[in-house]
Amino acid sequence: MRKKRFKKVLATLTGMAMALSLSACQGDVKEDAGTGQANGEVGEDQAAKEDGAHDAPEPGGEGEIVTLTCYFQNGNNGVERYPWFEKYLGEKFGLYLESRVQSADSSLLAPMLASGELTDIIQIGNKTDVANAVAGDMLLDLEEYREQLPHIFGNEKYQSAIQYAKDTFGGLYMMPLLIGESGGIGIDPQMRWDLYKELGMPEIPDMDSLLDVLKQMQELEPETAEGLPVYGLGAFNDWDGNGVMYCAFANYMVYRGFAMEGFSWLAYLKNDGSGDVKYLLDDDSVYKEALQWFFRANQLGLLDPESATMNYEGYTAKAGNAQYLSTVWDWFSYGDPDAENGEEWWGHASVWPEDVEVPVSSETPVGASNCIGISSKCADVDKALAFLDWYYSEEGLDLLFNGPEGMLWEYDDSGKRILSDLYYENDYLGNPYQHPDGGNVNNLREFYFDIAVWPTATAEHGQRYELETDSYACVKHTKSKLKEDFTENNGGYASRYERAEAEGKNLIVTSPVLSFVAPAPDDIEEIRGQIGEIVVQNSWKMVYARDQEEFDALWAQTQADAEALGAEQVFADAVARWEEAVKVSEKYLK
Amino acid sequence: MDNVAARKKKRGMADRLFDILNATLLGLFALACIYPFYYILINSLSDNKLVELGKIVFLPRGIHLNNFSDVLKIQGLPHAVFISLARTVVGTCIALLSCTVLGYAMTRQELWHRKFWYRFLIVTMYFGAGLIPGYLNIKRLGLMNTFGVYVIPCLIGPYNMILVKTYIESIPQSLEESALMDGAGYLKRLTRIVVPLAKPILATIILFSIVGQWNAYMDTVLYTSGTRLQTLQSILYQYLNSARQLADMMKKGGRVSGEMVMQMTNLQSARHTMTMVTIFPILLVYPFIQRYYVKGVMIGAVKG
Repeated sequence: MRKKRFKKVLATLTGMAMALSLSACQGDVKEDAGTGQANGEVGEDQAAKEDGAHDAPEPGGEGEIVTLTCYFQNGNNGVERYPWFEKYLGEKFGLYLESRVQSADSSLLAPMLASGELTDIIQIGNKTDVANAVAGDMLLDLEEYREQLPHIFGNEKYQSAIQYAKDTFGGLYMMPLLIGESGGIGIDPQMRWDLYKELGMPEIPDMDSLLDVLKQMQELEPETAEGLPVYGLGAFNDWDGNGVMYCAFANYMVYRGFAMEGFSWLAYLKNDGSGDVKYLLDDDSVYKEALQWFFRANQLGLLDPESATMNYEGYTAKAGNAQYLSTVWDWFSYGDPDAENGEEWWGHASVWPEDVEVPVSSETPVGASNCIGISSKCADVDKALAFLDWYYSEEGLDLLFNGPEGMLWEYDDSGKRILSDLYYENDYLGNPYQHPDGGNVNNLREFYFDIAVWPTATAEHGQRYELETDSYACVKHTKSKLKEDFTENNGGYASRYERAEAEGKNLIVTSPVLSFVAPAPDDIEEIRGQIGEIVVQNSWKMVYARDQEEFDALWAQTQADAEALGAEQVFADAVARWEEAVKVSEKYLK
Repeated sequence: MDNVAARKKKRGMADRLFDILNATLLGLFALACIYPFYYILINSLSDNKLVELGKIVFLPRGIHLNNFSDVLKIQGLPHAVFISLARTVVGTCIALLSCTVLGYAMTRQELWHRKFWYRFLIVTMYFGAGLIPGYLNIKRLGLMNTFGVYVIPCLIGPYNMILVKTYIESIPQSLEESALMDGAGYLKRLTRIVVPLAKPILATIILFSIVGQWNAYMDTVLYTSGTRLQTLQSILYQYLNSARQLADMMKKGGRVSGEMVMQMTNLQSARHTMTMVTIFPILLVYPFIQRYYVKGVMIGAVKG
């Protein structure tokens, strides 16, 4: 009996396997034939959609829905996660965007380039890959379609970027993204306002005094209500890169008005581009000061001892649990409304040492290295161009950043755009608002990741493109006892930024030249990778050094190792690339 | 009875100590295997804030099922489950079929250039072509964006084929010879004699294949687009990616909002829950195949 049953099962499975493998092979044929599905043909994908594989948009009034493939490097979700947006594209363009699932390490791009076939619409994150795609004749020259791209070619703010892309790649094969001003990088030193007040709001002339104040605050509150230890600050290791301990860079070098990211490893300079390019491992380096500052914080018991092994998620968890008295990021001001409004209210607010120079308004007139283009084998060039033009239009930007009007945003009586109650009741509390047609209204950015302009840039209507990045609008909206008290003690300003802007101090405008710095050559890249690893590793050891002697010995060791590996060559290259960037930028900066 | 008592008596202190040590070590090993699953389970059931703080270590706290109900609302999840199941069932069936036939063929001395074909297959275990040649191959075979991409490349697993071959070689030749004398051809001998005797190794291959197919996600990432062929694992992969992407956005600084911080809190729990949802079905498979598994691998591997 059992033998017979086994035979039957085996026969059934074999039959199923053969039938299905045959049908799979049949699918190939359809797929190949389906490369022309855009021109009215309904390919297998479309057929699958009609079969209910996913909710494909119904054909619009003007013909069939065309499926174009897309790949948004760094994006994470496909458009299918946002049925409302899928429907919008269907109705507006008769377009369905079928996205490739993005890989964490962007490993999908290399084989696509090697195969000579990109997706119909593609975002690429670095100039080398774009150059390879251009060399392989894989991209359309958008210059030839000027008339179909009025929002790109007709907009003054994109012209420098267009020219730069043309000069770099010999034609406008890809349109740069993140063009124009960015409204700061979210750096806004925060501190426990209630404890600071309890101390009598002492002056903080410099970064060292900041540690002293934090120490006094820690003595006032050594542990949280739940009995967890409270630290002056925490750090994490998973953003380390570019050859520095990231938290030392963000917590100290940035405060002091220095830039490095996007420029070069082993070299840094003033955020506004003034002064000379300096060597990171010099004895009078600001980076060494940063490490020394962290070392002192640790000696004072202010630095979370788990920092060296902690990632960003762990950091935010502890920060959210009130274990840190200070932080560099402005999101600390999004405190717990109950805590900020209670009888004994508490929470964080901006407190800046007097000598800080917080970076604001970085200008990237030629855009970032990320760019978007259309494949030369695109199934429907007209639809792709229409989408691309919309992607750069004010209408498109508005929708991509904020969703449809009347949901998370609306106009107030004065005609100003404001975040709606729906926003504050849902997204603001971490529960994304669902569009009636399906999918989160917000978070579209997980699909496209980078867009034509910075979310914080000023739109033609005079407000930021992405309304929720105007954090102080949120702060003002969510009134609390803490915020009222802070405003009262901050010269009537709801934010420290506003005060700094009004007083004209403590802010430093980032140099636009930084966006012109060319990537390092491969041989230099390799050397600086090796040096960077040593610097990062030793930086953590220095922060947790037993005493000054060990700290100094580690610094000397780092210098010696870096030199032995060719740091001089790397630094010389950085200086040369900066000088070149200054020259190149003159053509595009007005 | 006396013998038993005598044996018990003979067990000295050293034996008992050995037993205790043995039990302790094996217990710890079992705990190390079970605890990660238990950890994910209690974290998917506990209060999200406590999970983010790493407070859920041994017992769940603030138990709720919201994470599971949220995960079940993910767009396209039922379809992804169907695709995962389909690739697992179809992929396993045809891999089993091909490995059995090929493994059997490799045991036949009369196979033309048997040694060459055998080595030809073995070489692929040691040398991988790499990502780009693999991608180009799949593309030129016309498998891009088809269901076939999930099952056809896995048809021949040299390791599985070796296991089958070695197992079949362990079956007494006389059994097949007697069938041959009765006039049975290759197919009849394979299906009537070899396959029924090779059940343990076939069960082992089924297990390997099910686990491999169920857990695979890179083929979805590399060779498919859209949601039509999206699997449960690729959705999990996207969830794992979400935290990285949010952190990237924060690092870049273009948009930093409280919402994103909140989102990161919920992501941690969502990831635990998605992991639970994806591993649970595969855990159910093991008890059914366990009894064949050890026997199959042992016999198949010893002579390999």
